[in-house]
Amino acid sequence: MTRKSWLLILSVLMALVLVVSGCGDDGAADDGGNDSNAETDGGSDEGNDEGTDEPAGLPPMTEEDITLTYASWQNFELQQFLAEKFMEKYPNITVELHQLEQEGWNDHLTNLASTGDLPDVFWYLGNVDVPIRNMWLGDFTELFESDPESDMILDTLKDQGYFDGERKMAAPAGYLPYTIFLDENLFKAQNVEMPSPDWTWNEMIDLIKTMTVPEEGIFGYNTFTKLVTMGPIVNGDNIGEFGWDGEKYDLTGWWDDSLALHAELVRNGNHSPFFDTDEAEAAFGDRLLWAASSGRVAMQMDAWWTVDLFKTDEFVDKGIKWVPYVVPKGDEASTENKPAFVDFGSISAATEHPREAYELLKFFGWGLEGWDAKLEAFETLTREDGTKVFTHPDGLPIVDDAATWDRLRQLLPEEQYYDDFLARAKSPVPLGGAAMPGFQTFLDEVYFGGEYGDIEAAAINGDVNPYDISADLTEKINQYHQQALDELFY
Amino acid sequence: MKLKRETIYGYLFILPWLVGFLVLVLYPMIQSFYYSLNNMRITPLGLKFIYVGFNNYRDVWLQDMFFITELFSFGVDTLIRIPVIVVFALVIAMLLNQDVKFKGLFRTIFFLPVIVASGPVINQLVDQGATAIPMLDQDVIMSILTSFLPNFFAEVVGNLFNQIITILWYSGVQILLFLASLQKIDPNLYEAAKIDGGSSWECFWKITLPTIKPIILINLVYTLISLANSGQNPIIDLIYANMFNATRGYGFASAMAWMYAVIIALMLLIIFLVFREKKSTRA
Repeated sequence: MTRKSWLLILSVLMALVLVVSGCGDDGAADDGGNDSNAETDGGSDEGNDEGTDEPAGLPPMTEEDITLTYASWQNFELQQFLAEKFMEKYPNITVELHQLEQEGWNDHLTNLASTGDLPDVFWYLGNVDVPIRNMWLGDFTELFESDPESDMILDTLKDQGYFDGERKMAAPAGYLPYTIFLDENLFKAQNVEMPSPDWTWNEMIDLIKTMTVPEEGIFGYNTFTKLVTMGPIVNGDNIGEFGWDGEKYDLTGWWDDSLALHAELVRNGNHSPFFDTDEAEAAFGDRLLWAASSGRVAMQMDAWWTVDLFKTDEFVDKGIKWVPYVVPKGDEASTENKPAFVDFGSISAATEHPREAYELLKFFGWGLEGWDAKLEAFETLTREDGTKVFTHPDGLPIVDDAATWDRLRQLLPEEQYYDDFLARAKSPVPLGGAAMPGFQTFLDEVYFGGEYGDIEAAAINGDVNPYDISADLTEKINQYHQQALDELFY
Repeated sequence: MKLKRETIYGYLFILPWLVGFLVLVLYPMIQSFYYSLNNMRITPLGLKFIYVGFNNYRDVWLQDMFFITELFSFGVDTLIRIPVIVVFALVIAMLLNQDVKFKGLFRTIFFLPVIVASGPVINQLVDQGATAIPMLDQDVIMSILTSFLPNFFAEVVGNLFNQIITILWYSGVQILLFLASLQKIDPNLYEAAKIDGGSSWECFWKITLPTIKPIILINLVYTLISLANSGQNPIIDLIYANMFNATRGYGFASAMAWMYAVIIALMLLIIFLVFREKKSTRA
């Protein structure tokens, strides 16, 4: 081949490379884009007098035709229902729902963000470090603080989302309490009285021991939710996991006590055998049997969403009657703080309509009107075959509004247990990952994947003494928190 | 200058591959190298980069405790799996090269896993335990192995039994390559050897193996690359996990991918040096 033909080929290749490079979107990297703290759009400046529906203090909503995008892992039929209600209230706003798999949720959001399609309103899953690091969280401090409805949020949730103590960048949008189920029939069979709804931590531990009857193959408790999460919150009056007091973590208080206690209970046979182990096979004759459905476990430490499952025939036919209790109060505690699964949402830092996005976030999350619509959905939504979509309400209210809680109560079984439960479930404390910067990264890199391996498993196996490492872990988790906070100011 | 018609046709034929290579391989490689030199944020307003030089490469070794352990276990795994796959492929290729009925059907059967058992399908099969031989008692195998092998090595060998079907399924392409090579051996060579009193065993060592030696190298390379890129490889999962990790992200993951690529390149170099055709020193 001649030199000229080589040159021709090389020129074609070069042109291709240039075309491909030109297709990149690096330009966006330096693009100032929209200011996430931009003032509300024209509507607010024009002083709309017709905005009588607006809560006092908030700027009015726009009257222009706009579209807002929304992504959460709530039941999709519920989302559609709520979106319709929102659009009924604001006919000029179209709500488009993103339907994403809950598995890999933050990865899906990352992909959307990479193409500039992060929804205007979104929930993030479990780890707040992901949206913080990628600067997804919009600052809605002014909107939140000028909104009268914000005062109705449950006390322990109101201040969540002020990650740096100043800017409101996320808000609770879903609430499912930790729930301890007691098998009432098993208690009766053992002639052990059911505890008071105001039971305490030590009473629970004593009951676990009392209800462990090795000769009958009965175990005191089984865990999905953990003592090590509950202990510091209910005993130390903490407002976050691992001894968080609002400024720093401290694992040297109740964390090490709770983990050591759990390890001891497991080693002593108070805890039911773990799933898919030889011990489970020896105890239940089936290593894959869920201990909670064996009829030989007195307490199942679980979550609110399991209420529905425990009402099904599978359990009723086996003579198991699981009844819900709140996590007990610490014996010396002064608050009713209880751990809870709290989902968080935010508005995109790039949304062009922060005022309206805030309203949508509120409607789907803590807003009273939104809760009215949610309760209506719980009561009325049916599938094509006539069955109800919700046999059990999906979560508890985030607002302290008696009418909302009373209406929700009507959707639950009539037993007194549920009255007692709801009355004591109004001080939820969110788990660390979604609420506390640096927490989940600490879990991933130190707590479950650091030099001690899985610390909880190591403590149970006797490889690690929680008291020996709690000071070191305290120092590390506070470092992780600080590092994550620094990212907020990146 | 006038390009020959054949030359134009030639380049036209490889043009789709060239475009694919440039767009889907070279460009992402350059992009990934650029990412690896930066801390990258995927903001709603576009990608943001902070140049960190080669810090990500350093952090891959110093901060990710799983990378080194996974790399080590991949190395030991590969050391055992590659010979198993290549020898199995050779044996099957030789069998398929015999004059048997339904030869075509058998060849199809052995190649089928290459098409069927890709990505999610193979993951499902592994999850459901369909890649182990049910009759093999893994616990018994492990107890025998640990009685005379160090623990880490016994685990790897035990794993081999546990995933023996998957491993053998990696042999499809290699069988095909061996088969092509075997069919090119002149039958007269075997005939001459037989006349001289050579046994089948001797024919294999003196005729078959030397003739297909270059293909053995190709198959070793192919097997290493396919194991390295397999969806079953925990290092690939680790890179993916780091990509979406809150504090590490694409920059760190890209650096890890590049370090992994360098390690694989070194392994390929070793294979090449050991199995390359050596020039005869005789005049």
